[in-house]
Amino acid sequence: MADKLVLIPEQSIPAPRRPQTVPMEEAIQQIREDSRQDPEAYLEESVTPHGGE
Amino acid sequence: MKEIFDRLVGLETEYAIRFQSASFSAIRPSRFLLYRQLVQALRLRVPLVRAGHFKEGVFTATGGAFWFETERIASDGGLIEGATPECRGPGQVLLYQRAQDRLVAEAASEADVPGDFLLIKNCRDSRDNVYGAQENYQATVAKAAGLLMWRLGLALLLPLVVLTWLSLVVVIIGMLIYLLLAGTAYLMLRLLPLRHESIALALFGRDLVEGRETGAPLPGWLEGVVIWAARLAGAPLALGLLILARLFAFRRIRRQALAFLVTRSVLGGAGMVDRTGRFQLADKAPAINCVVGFGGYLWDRPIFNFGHFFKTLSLESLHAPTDYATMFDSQQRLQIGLGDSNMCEAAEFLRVGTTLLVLDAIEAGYLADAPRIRGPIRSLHRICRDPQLQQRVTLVDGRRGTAIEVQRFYLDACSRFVAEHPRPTDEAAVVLQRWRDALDALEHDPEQLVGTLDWVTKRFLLQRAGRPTDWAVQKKIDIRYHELSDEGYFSVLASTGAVERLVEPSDIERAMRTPPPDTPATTRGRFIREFAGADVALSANWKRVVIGKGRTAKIVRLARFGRRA
Repeated sequence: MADKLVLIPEQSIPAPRRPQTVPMEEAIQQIREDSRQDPEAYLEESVTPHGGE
Repeated sequence: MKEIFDRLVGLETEYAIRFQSASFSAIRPSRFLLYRQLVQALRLRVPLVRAGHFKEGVFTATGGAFWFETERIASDGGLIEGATPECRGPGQVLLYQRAQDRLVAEAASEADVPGDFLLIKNCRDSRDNVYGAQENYQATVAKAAGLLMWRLGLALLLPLVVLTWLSLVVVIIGMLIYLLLAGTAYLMLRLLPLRHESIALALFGRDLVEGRETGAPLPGWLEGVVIWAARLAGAPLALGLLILARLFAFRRIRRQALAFLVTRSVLGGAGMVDRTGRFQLADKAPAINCVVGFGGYLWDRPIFNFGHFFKTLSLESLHAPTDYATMFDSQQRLQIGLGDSNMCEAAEFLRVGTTLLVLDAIEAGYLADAPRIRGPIRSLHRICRDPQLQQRVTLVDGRRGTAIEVQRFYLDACSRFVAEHPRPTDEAAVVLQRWRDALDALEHDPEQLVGTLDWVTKRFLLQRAGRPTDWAVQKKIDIRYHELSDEGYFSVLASTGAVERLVEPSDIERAMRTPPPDTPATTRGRFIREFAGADVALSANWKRVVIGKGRTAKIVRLARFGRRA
């Protein structure tokens, strides 16, 4: 038996920010370290030829 | 007066594929096979059916769709494209865009593939291959005399439409003759001591040789010939349609919204490290090379994209001639190819919300005196190259102004429109306030907008975590910012609480399974939920749902559904 269709009310009120879980400097350090780990390989893995465009 | 935000709106997003094989020796699956495995994983999460379309794709019970987007399938090009269901209002489209992002990212991570399959929601890779976002707005194509000329022009194009169909049939017959001759030649070559498999692949493509769908239905060289033959076959129609569209399609909107769009990167740009290491405001805008075009037919990247009109006339009408008749409606799809794929919810809400308000204000007559920019493409590129936001553009009347000053003109006009509207909405008020706050912050203290606007957020990360003398590191930050995973840099930043959230996770959960109300997606999604996986065959596209096959098939046209109650 199919689920009853549920209508979603329009969302117009911004949701509150989630509580902070990680300090900003720790996040920045994580990005700093990861970005220096073989960046050329990452760039190569993410090459996306659309093919003929 | 028409209601505010009453028009249908939908977003298309192309997700770049990042795949890491599980082992060094493992053969990397083709992008097409990755897409197929993604669809299998999607099927476990949400009811879906095959798209009734010339492109490979599926529609889900949300009313949205996923496609394998490529022109050169045999050359292993391709991306995953997601299209939201038709929505109303920036809040609803933001919700469904986030639901789509989450659905496709989770499906990719769970797909049965020999490695890590991740998606990147951006518009440009490290080799400057450009793809990404398209925005679709229901709008009035023309009125009065202009509408009459548009319709007359479509009628006059009918002989070219028929000629294109016949030409495409000739191309298909040509392929069949080729296969017959190639088959005969192969049988003769098999008598000789040669590398038969290589010959077979070169003549027939992997699908025929392996007897299964591998994503290579033709050899690459033949695919190229067929694509060029199809382009030549469609060239007369393309030229005729381009002239007609430039003269009559969305003429008022193009004239009055152009300056807004040229300067909109200050709000919606995702930021980008270019090949010289310079930071620009936007990913896609620097690649835009014309105001009006078909989006790739002649390597054009337009602001206003009319490629969907060409596809309707040349391909879709071939399968469903009634689609030709829909082109005569006064309400058509306005497609804007200028925007970036946003990670910040507030940026996405602003990009779409401000555009919707501008369209409403234009159609209500509030932007008749909108500024007109001299050299819009040149101005667009100059604005993108100036993160200090000091670059001035020249208007046709000789005045000069910054992008923020031009945006303020539109903000003021839209504010008057909303204030004088008999039924102003809370959502419109929110868009105006956010627009005003963003422009004020951009002028006085842009860092307030970290976590709100993508280009400001990305620049913040590059300045604090990057290494300016190492382009590869900078570019990795640029691109991995957009990766849809917990390790993606936007997600890492979001874990600090610095990113502004506008949609609740529980609402996203619901939007991953059910369609929005009062749009054609509502009916489409309901049919898919009822019949997906059942014994009866079902296919869907944007215009219709087809239940059953052959003579007994029932066609449900969606245009008559989805009007606001």
